[in-house]
Amino acid sequence: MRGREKKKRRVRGDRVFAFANLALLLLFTGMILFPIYYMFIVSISGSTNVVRGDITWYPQNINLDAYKTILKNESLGRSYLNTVFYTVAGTSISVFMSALCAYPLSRKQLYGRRAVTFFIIFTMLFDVGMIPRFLVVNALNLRNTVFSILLPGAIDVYYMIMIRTFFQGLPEEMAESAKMDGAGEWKIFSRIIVPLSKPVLASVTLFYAVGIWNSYLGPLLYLDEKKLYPLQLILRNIVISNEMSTMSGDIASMNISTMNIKYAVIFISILPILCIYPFIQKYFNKGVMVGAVKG
Amino acid sequence: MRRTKKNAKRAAAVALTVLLGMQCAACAAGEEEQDSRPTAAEQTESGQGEGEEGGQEQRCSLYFDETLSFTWMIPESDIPLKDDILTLNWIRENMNVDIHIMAVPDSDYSTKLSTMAGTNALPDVVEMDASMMKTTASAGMLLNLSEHESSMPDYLKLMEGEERAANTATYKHEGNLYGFQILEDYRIGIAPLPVIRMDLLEKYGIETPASWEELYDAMLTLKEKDPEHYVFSTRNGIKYLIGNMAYSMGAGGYGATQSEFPVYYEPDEDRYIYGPGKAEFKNVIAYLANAYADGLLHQDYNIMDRTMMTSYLTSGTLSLVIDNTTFSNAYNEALRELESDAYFDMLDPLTYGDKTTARQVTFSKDWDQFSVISVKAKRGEDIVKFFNWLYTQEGELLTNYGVEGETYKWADGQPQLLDAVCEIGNYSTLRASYGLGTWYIARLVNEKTNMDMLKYLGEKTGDLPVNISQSERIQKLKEEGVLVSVPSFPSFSAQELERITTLVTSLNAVFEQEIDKFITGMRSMDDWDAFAKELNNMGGSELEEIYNTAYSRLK
Amino acid sequence: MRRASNVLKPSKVSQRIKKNRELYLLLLLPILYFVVFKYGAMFWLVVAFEDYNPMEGVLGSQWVGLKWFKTFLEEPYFLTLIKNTVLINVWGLLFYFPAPVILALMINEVRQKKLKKVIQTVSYLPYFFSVVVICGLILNLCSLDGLINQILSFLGLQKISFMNKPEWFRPIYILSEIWQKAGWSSIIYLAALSGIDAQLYEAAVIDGASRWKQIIHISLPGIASVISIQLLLTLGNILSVGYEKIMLLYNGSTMSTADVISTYVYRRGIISADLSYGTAVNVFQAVIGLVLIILANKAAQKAEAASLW
Repeated sequence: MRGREKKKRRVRGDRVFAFANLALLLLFTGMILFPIYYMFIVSISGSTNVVRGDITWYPQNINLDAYKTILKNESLGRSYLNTVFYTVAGTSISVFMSALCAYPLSRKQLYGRRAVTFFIIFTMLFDVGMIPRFLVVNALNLRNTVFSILLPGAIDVYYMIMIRTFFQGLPEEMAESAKMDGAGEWKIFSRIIVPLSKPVLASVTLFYAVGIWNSYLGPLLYLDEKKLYPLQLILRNIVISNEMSTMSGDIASMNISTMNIKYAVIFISILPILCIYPFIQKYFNKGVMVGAVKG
Repeated sequence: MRRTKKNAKRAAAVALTVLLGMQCAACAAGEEEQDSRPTAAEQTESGQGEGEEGGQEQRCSLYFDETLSFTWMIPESDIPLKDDILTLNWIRENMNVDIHIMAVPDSDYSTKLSTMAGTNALPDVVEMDASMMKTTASAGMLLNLSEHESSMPDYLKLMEGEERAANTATYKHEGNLYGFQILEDYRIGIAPLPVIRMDLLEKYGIETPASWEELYDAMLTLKEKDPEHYVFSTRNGIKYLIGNMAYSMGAGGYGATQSEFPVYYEPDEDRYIYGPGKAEFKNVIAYLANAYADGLLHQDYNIMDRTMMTSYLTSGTLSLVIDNTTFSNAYNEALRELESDAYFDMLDPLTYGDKTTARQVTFSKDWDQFSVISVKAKRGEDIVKFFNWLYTQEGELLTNYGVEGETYKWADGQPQLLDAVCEIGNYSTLRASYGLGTWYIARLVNEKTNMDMLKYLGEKTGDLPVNISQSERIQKLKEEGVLVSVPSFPSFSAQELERITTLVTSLNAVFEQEIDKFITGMRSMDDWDAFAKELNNMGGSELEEIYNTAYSRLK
Repeated sequence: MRRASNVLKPSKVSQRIKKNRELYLLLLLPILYFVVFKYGAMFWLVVAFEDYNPMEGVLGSQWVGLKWFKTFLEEPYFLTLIKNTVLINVWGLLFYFPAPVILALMINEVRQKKLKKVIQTVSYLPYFFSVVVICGLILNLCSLDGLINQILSFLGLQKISFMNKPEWFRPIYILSEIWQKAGWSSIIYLAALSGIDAQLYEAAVIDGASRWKQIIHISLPGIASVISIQLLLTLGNILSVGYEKIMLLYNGSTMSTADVISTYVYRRGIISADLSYGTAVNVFQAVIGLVLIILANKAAQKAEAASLW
């Protein structure tokens, strides 16, 4: 009898616990989503309402003037295209180079494997810092060219190791038997190993792509010309440095506030991520661990 | 084409026109002689109707047989810069000069410039201020223009003329010229003065303030009537606002006219002074600290910039601004949409304390901005020739008025913007649409275009923009000696320059770190004297010494 | 070559290398990358010991030895920088570090599979936003007219100019870190939690342990090793912070708490183009960073946890 009482109490206690736990978690997710929602409603609200601070829960005087203004802005459009280019080209280079580096290192018969691995990992441990990195790019005459965005970060050691570990997990016999058949290492790599490693390569692609899409310090240091600026730099100029002067004509005439513009620009910049996010989720599980360690 | 023998100042508008006519005729003649390129034919639409004076054959007095191409780094300030624009295309077709404008956002410009200089990677042509010019020149990175004097007669004529010769001397490094300065042929009156909501003053029966003390009382009244809102703010940090107020309160340094430089010329003592170290500087800080405590100065003043401040001013939530008077038009335009009778106008310079006369410093006529040529640039000599051309009448006309028939016409012997162009109604948009005027490629700036446009709009709407009357008032204040142009700095040696840079950097760092504490009340004003003394000891006094030594050399 | 190998008796090593020369060939391009960009950058550390003159280049500039290091160490500002850098990390350790652990434990307790998935998905989302977006949001939400102040004044409280107050800088920095990254960082703990033997929980239920007790006695010890590795890694990085974020958030008034070594490097090395000095500070930071990371890794190994590599 007493045992059942106890169990009942415990069950009730557990229910309360589960409920409180869930409530807190939902509050947390709410706090994550609300700023995004808020940003969106401000961007589509009337400027006077925004300046007066009327907007909290729902939009008022809905209009798309802010979006019209920023879509007219040439530098923003160009920077968007630049970013798409940097992301596609940079991710391709990075994934290729990382896999290319990981493959030999995953093979046991490679003499000096440990030494080479250390040679590579050391570059991660000894972080030379901003100025020497800048000086290298400058000395190679890559400054103010697209290569300054694509090349310096081509291999991220974490992701390379992540790929290598995956390669090591593949059954060795496949490579061996291919070798028996007279296939060269390149062929083994490109025809056998890479197709088998789609899950890890997909994850790494995602990380590289997000990294390049979001990067701002590299472009800030290496790019001088506005024509080459990626979205993040233009975004920084508009949202942080408030450099909206090239739009000031519109701001005055269309009666939109800077707040409208800023939120609209931020929203436009995260839109691609919001759109593809639901589809890329499934890649999170495999190989995501290393990314989390890094984050 | 060296036909302008007279000093540019004396080249009155009529003379200008005549000369231009002659030059254009000359162009046409030159075209007939060489007539090898079908440049003019491509400009069909532009020259059809008005092409009497050679609109069809506009080839320029300066023409390169081999295409001269160079990169020109310019800060992108209030308008987007493009290569494919009326003026640059004209130059491409009629001068065979292919300019690539390397636009760098204004907020990144000084960083980019200093890293480029630090790694010896300057583009062919770069915009920079005098102190940077001297630094890079002494490092040997710039083309010495004085070695190419024969290629720049028109520029030299302007610079060595009686009006500018004294200033020119101060811009030289070891006796040599290194940059083409932006000069003003005509400029709309501009001064960093208080601009206030006049309609509110009238509404609440406040008399127009004549002193800083009266202004403070007026602000208190405004706050009382509308306790929800602050009264004024600043953009890009408090140094800017302090600088705009300091001179009229008996000190100086920083502000619109001096930007990052804390040292200013004090006429009362005939010497250079490190502003923040001067006793009177405390007046400004105390004034602002009180204003902050009384809720007059916007709490977010420190992270506000021009766009943000403008949106506050134009939405009626701020009613005073101490900034360039020329911005008033833009405020009024936007404000009208909100309240039909609301408007901003400038106050005359304010007196302070027991002084009965006001004093205020404003921009000198010419800019502290130079186009310098890198020693690494190819065909430096030809680039010099091109820049010299920008200072000819022909160059001035193209870079300010554009192309005849497309943007302007001749009327009564004067260039005049076409009505369709005046309809643009906004100087920035005008410059952005055709590549004209300031912050583009004009090196001899003529803001008559802006004045033309303002007048056209004023006549059309029957409501003259305040900039016009302000311009006249400022002119008068200048004649009365209340408004003075900021004097240029004396010439320094390379070592002095280096020392100045080091001192200013470290002094500004400390100043920036502490100043907001005084204004927000985190540090008591009682500490100020100790702080000022600390600044002087840290290098303020040494700075003064360097400046005054250099100044005495000049005297 | 082949003939040569017949004459000279090849060592085992060269034989192995030769047999796998294709592998080395594949490795060539990546190695070239590391040599040029990573070790190339290390070569430029020389600048720290010179009075770098851009006209003379790195080989022609004057050698000044440890001058810049001395200048940096003797600067009164040095201590402030170290203090700020360490403090922001200590705050992170105290407040940010536990967040993903707690979050993972909480998510692990959700029994509704679909809801769990939704919560996880949402909590990862902000990790994919750029630092510029995050800072843009912070600056706007925390401004005087921003959402947070609207809420404060709605509650009848005084508005606060958050981004101007040095005392608010660290809380805002850490809170936004939690907002952005706690979800993503919880993945690793969730993975560890899913690896705990289900029989342990079943046994606990039979013993009558409440959910809370299960967390304390089973879940938490189950992920303790992962936590300790993460903790050591964080300690190893105590001299480096997400300075990109600080660069975007700080201003003159918050400098006294916000300025860290890396932001200082940016201001001195890039903005003022004092390359030698900036590099010297970089060297200082890199050397200490290396020592700390090696120590952390050694400690992690000692803690009988899996090694970093």
